[in-house]
Amino acid sequence: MTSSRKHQWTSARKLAPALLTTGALVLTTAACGGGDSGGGGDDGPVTLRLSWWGNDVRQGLTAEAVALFEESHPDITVEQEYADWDSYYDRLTTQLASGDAPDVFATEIRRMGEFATRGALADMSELVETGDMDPEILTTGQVEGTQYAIPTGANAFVIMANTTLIEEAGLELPDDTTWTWDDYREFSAQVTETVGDGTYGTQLSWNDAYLNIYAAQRGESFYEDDQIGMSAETVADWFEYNNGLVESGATPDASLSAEIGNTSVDQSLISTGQGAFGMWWSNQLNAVTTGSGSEIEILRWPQDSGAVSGGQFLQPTMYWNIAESSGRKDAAAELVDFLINDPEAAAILGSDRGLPINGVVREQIEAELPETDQQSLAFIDELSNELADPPSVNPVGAGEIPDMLQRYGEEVNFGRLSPQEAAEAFIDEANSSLG
Amino acid sequence: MSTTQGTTLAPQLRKRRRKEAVAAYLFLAPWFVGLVAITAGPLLSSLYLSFTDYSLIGDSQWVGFDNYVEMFTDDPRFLKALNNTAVYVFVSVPLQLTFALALALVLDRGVRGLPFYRSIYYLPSLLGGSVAVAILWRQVFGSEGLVNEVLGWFGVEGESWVAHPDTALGTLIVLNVWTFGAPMVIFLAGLRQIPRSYYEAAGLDGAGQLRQFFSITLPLLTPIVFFNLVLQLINSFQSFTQAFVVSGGKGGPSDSTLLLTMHIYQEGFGNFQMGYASAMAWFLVVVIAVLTGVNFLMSRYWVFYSD
Repeated sequence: MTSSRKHQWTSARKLAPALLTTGALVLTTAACGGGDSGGGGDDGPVTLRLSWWGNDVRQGLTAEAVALFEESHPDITVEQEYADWDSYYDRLTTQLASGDAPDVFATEIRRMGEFATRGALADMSELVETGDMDPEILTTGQVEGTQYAIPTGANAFVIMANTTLIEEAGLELPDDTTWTWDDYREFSAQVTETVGDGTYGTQLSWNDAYLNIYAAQRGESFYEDDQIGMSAETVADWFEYNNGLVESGATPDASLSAEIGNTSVDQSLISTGQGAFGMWWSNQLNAVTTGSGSEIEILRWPQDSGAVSGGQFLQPTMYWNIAESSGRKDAAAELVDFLINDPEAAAILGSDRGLPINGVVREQIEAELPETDQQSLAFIDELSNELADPPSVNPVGAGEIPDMLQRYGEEVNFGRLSPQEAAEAFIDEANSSLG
Repeated sequence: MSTTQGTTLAPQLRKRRRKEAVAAYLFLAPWFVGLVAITAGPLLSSLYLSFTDYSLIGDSQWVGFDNYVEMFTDDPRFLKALNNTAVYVFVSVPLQLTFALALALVLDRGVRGLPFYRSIYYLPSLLGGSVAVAILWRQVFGSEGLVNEVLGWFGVEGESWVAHPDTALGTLIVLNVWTFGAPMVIFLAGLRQIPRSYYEAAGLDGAGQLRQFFSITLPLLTPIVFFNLVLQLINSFQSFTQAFVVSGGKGGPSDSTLLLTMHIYQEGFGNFQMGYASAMAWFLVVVIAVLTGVNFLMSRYWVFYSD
């Protein structure tokens, strides 16, 4: 009896501190929820939250760079939050909506304008040193003249070819300075036929960058005045071309294409050694090379005679943004500045978020970059006088465009809509959700 | 019971009753707080938001019934989603209940190791809504999945079932039917309530198995059928995970697996049209409420309560 009463007493005594701690926790959480994680002052220790999407490789590189930053900025602690691409924006928008936004976060060209117009992003022009950055790429971080975002690096959407696979099949890669869209399809179909056994020439891509290039070759731009700038004819031809890839056997059949249509670069046909070609971003060259274990070469886009340009363009891979709600924009800016302008950080990060856009930094580290990065650099340098201007920030609603293209493209591939019908329906739906 | 006793209760007893009531409310308090803060609060604010153009970030404006009008006049995907959902619910629920009842009847005949079988069949109900099973489904019904493997033995070359617009919704229906364990367990409990003597008497009178089923089992089981029907209808209308995972979050191919819940999700979190998404969610609430109401009205004509 006595022992049990004693026991109750001790547990009550233990309870009091526990309750106090809980109370303190609630208070701290409430303070964080208010969005000024640093307490609002300009000095003193601060904890920043850094949010981005990506795979394990990126996680490792970023952690390394952030550790270096913390070393040279003992007052600043960085907490990283990262997610898969698929769930990244869901989480970010929910955090923004609930006033719990990370101080620094990544966005990309399709969505950044939307966040900027809705007032979620801080003006970074006074905060980050941009003097050495490529001016053309830097402009892509502006919305209506205000620098809401700093590009993390430059990227090109390219055709990659597994030259090992092609050689082993006893085929000869066509000359990419002269090849046409028909050549690309026919050669891909030939790969499927020659190699067989679950290996295909190429895989469908519904990336809007691919259509962007296709349209640019005809002198049309993807967006104009916050609406679709392409003609229905161009979009229809593009749907028809993709359908031709399926019909000719250059890609898997319609349903298998739909099944693998959602895979990430790591699971793509070219990365698993089951495809000769793939359309991916240049910063993914490393992932494709590692995945396939083969020789991967970057090629020029096919062109039909009469094309006004090759259509190849550079665009910011991603942006770094600072939340308008951040209580310590100064510290947040130091972090962004470090990630972009510090040569040591750049050497660690390489081209994982695109090739460095700070010219001075780039020159310093070029020799140290991994082989695949040097390969992308060489390709971009080779094309430097053929490159089209980087696209401007996409209109509000552009984030849904790739899914829309895939939806209508599949309607065509399954024979439910003609390319013409699909193109008109796509333009209608896109225009009503843009702007 | 309490009304008859309330007037004659001794004061002491009444005091104790009151004390107990206070204690009960105290114990219930966390639940009430949860209900108000976590369920009722967001529920009502989403009703409000459904009349605005709320976009998750930034300010929102009152737009009246615009969102509700837009659904039917300016959003072909909504109509498509509504159609998909209707097919999904009205095909899978009857099938699921039929399977559940059939298996419950078999198990009720006194199978050896009944608890084991009951658990085995109940398992899918626990797992069916999970991401893991949806991923498994993708494998089973994929182009190189189990189904095509088996078809291959018979020389049939199947396409990808989950990625063809004609069959993708079908695979989701099969997945939902497969989770028949929960209604089965309830049926089994219901069957146990039917007195054996009825069957003995019917048997003596010369009624066959079939006759016994339709004249004794089914009528006495109608309250359970009704209960399961209402529950499964509501659940199926709210299915989300399966379609989301099987279609890689897109409702494809060509919107064939776009359920209403998924369209709501895409519009809200993908397109930032949270006001519009709220309106669609409330439309779904109304549809479920009306159907449940109709169900209750209809039940007068076919549900038989023996007591």
